[in-house]
Amino acid sequence: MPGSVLSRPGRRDLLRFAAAAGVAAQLAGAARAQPLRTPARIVIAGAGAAGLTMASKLSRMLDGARITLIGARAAHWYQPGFTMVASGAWPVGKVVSETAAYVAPGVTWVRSDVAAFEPEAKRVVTADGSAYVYDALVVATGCTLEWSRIEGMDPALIGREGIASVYAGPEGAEATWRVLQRFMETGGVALHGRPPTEMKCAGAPLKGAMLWDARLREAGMRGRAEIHYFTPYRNLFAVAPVHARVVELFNARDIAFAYEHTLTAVDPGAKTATFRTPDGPRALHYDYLHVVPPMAAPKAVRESALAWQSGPLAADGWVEANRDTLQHPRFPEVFAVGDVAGVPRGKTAASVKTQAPVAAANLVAFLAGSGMDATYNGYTSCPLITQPGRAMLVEFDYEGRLTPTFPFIDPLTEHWVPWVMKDKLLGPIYRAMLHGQI
Amino acid sequence: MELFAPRALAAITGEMFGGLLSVVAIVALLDLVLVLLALRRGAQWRPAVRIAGGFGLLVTLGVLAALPGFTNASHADLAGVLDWLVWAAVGIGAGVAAALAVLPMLAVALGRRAETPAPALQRGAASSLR
Repeated sequence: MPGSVLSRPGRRDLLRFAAAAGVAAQLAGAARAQPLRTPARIVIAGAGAAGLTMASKLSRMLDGARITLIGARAAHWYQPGFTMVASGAWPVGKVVSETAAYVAPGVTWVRSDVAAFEPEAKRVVTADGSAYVYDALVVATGCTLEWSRIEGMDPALIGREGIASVYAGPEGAEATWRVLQRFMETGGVALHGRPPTEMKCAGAPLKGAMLWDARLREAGMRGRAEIHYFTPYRNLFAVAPVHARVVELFNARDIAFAYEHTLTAVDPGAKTATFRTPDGPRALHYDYLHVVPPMAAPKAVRESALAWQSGPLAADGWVEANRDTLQHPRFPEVFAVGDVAGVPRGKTAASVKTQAPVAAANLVAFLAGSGMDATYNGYTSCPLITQPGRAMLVEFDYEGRLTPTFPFIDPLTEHWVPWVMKDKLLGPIYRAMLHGQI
Repeated sequence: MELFAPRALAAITGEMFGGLLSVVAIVALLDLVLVLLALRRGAQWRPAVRIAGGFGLLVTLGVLAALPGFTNASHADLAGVLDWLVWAAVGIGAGVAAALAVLPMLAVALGRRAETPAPALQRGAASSLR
């Protein structure tokens, strides 16, 4: 970013960064308090990134507590790596591991999903009918992909008829790469976009459009392909400076984009996608369609008293939570972490890394009957890949302020270093997070 | 910023390198023993440093050439001072580490060779005394 202060870090910036890192290291050491002795029954609903991290953290922070982790999936998915698989940079095996490898010692893992939340009775009921009573509950179920909200769309179509989606699990990411490879041979019209709901990793569809552009250029097929990006909103990214930068990048790469377009229907036979626009439905032919489904809280959460009862987060049933403490305002023994948390931002693994210490500290304070002083500022991060080998390390908070961890890395400039972080460093950080070590 | 706490850094390093850390630890331990041995035997440090330095330089060049490929990228992806600094730092760091790893072994090996007089020289020296 020419002219940006961040692009030319001064000695003072570096010294400030070094001092802050040193102080943080000292504080982190000091913050390692004695575990709280308690017989409390803790239930963690969801055994994905947020649930596993919370279980690991709480098992270190509590002594004598009975921690029950509820989640059915035996495979753990490293979802931040799905775009790497879908762009051919990683094999699919790199994003799949076993949930059991991350379940902390002393934590009881129930291999079922929560079918009903009964917060008034302080209990949850699993799909097999078992009930678990709790003194404190962590809701970390993640979100559901609402494919059926797009007429004609079925996740079984992914990998066929030019339909792709990195959101459909590791197989979906792998199938997306196969569809892209076919598209690179034929060329044609590629359609990308995002849904009109809260979503996990809002940067992924943007990365997708730019990665596919790069792959087409490598294959010498860019001249035979059109790439379009559609958003239901009036911006490409909710954070203004990032939006402006993405507009620049899209223009430079000849990626066309349109606002106020919501994908409502797919006709795989005719290869037609229909969008809702202010001017009425608009049907477009595609040869490659990357579908990002609307997202919502799981049914059990949505239908419970835990969900927001009014406001913008009520429609999709996200868990009501104080955006600073992550505590439920009506059920104080309930905390929400990860994708299901009804807070304005934060549906990324980076958010979980920042939310989990806050929720864990506040849950322990709740059990101890002391004041909650840990707060979440909405931090989230998106290594916005612009082409294989380059990315921008975008980090921001609730207010949409850019909050770079490394002040000497300009968040709006494409660099190799953020790509290296995405390719080599974030995976180990993620695994350390699951083990509750960071 | 909690990423920079020593325990966090240790955890991330452990996750990143896994079993390779054990190999590094064994090499470090071996090197420590060899340093003590070299000091005891009166090692030949100067030639050892020269050879180890050359080896380190080769490793640096190799790492600098291979590093972008190792990260699924190419040299053309390096853009700006930060990228070049990190690229150079990793290469130089790898070279220095490699040089330090072989230095004690070389010092011991060269020391042992210096301790053993060449048989031909012995014979020559004896005949000149006659």
